[in-house]
Amino acid sequence: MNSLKSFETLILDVWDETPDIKSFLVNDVIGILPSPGQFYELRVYGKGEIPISYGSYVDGKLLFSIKNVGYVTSHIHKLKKGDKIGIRGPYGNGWEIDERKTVLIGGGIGLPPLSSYIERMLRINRNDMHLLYGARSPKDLVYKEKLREWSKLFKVDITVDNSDETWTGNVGVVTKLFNKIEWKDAKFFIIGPEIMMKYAVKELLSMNIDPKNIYLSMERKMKCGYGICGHCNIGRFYVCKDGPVFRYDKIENIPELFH
Amino acid sequence: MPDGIYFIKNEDFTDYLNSLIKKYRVYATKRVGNDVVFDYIESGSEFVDERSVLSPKNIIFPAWKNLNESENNQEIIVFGIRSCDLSGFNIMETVLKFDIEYNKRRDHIHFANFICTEPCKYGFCTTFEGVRLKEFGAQFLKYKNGYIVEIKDNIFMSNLFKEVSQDMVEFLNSYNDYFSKLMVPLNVKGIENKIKWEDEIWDELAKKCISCGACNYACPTCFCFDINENSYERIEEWDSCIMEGFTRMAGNINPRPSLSSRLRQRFMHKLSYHYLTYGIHLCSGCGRCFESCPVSIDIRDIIRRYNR
Repeated sequence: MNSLKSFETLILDVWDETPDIKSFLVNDVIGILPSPGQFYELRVYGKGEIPISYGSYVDGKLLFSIKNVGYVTSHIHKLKKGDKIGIRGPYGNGWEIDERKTVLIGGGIGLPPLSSYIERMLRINRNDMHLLYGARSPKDLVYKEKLREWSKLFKVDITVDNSDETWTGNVGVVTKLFNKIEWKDAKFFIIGPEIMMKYAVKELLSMNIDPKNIYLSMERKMKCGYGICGHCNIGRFYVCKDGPVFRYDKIENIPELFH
Repeated sequence: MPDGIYFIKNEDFTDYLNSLIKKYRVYATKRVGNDVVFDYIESGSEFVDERSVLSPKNIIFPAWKNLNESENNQEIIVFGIRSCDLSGFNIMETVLKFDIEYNKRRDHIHFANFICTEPCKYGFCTTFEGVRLKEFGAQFLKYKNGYIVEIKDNIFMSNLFKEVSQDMVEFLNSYNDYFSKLMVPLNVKGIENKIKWEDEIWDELAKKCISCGACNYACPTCFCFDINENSYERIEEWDSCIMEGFTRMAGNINPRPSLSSRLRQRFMHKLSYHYLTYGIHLCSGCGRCFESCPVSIDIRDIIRRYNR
């Protein structure tokens, strides 16, 4: 059974990922091993809570990468190393781990929830992954160091919507990279802005990918985190409890899937 | 005679309530001016067996509470709730039971519901569970010179109770069928799959609705709540799916920006989604939503639209 009670933890480190995304390393004071793709409710005291998927879990430390987009996130961005923060979770259902190969498709701040999966796979000596990652511009790419390391271990393709003078790689939306996909029998994980997910699914279906092999991590207003406050439903499902990761065939007929 | 069924005479009723008041806090229906409201009573004589203006939802699920303060969970008897309101709370519990704090509070609340003897102006409870419930602490049904009492929670037991006769038991057992003849049930069979996403009704309702949220607050099954905090307190409070901010996320992204989409959500949740997940409609047929609606949006019209 669940409670809204949050646990106090310390910010061990903070750094800038991009001009509007910061990463926060915090002690896991809860002590429940999270599954890749799960999320926590992070609490800025006196300001409120936000649902954030974790990006990495190493030695009892959780990494959260947060874009400054609203009221609570703007206050999280003001926090410094050593500041207190509230945490509760982990909540929801994450990415499935099984024998299948994985094609990971991420947009912008969608990379951290894929990162937790990639790190878990690498820890069990699995590198049968292919990452397709897109961001608005080169300076909006997160986890640049991790991307460099991963590209030595498995196939990583990166693209940006708008190039700049430093960029020599792919330019265009992430679906432009789909011709690089070699594994039609893999499972496909998609996370990013809704418009990107919508077109990514459409493209995969046109490539005759089975809807049962497509997984989406959805986003709605998740306040409680365990299916009782009523805000985050998509049709009859609650994103916090039944998701955030859904197998596409289970939600494809819900009219409000993409708004 | 069957276990847990008794009879209490009208002349013993005030003494019975006084015996409960001696031991517990009793939150009961009483008259204030022309209204019947829930309040703590100090004497059994204050009690009136009538439908209250609002359901006592606040006692089981507070409209506003400070999460930083621990709750004072004393035993409370809620006496005189109508069956439809209690049925609504039982439905609400299919969701709230997953919360620790709710359960702690719920364990200390004891409900005694009263079965209506005639249909009310707004209710359509026979469409759902009906007037005689399966889940309660104590359930009272008016019979001749007293009440037939069903007891599930021993806190309500009393030595003033008498044995029931065979005709009382038969009256009780046939009561839901009898009441369904007075209040003809609407047909909700299969409505969870018949209610339509694409339907002009949602736009029509949106032209009338003023987004006040009264339907949500009056409803004994509406459980949605918000969590907020400021420098002084952390608050859990009732929320309303009719309000624009209900689904609005950081960055002003809102999956349900139009009033018609929010009205559709309300009726989809009541008549379809909750049933598909929990096997019960999110409605007890109390009629409080359209009783309180300033523009008379009537859930019965929605039910009839899909099931004639």
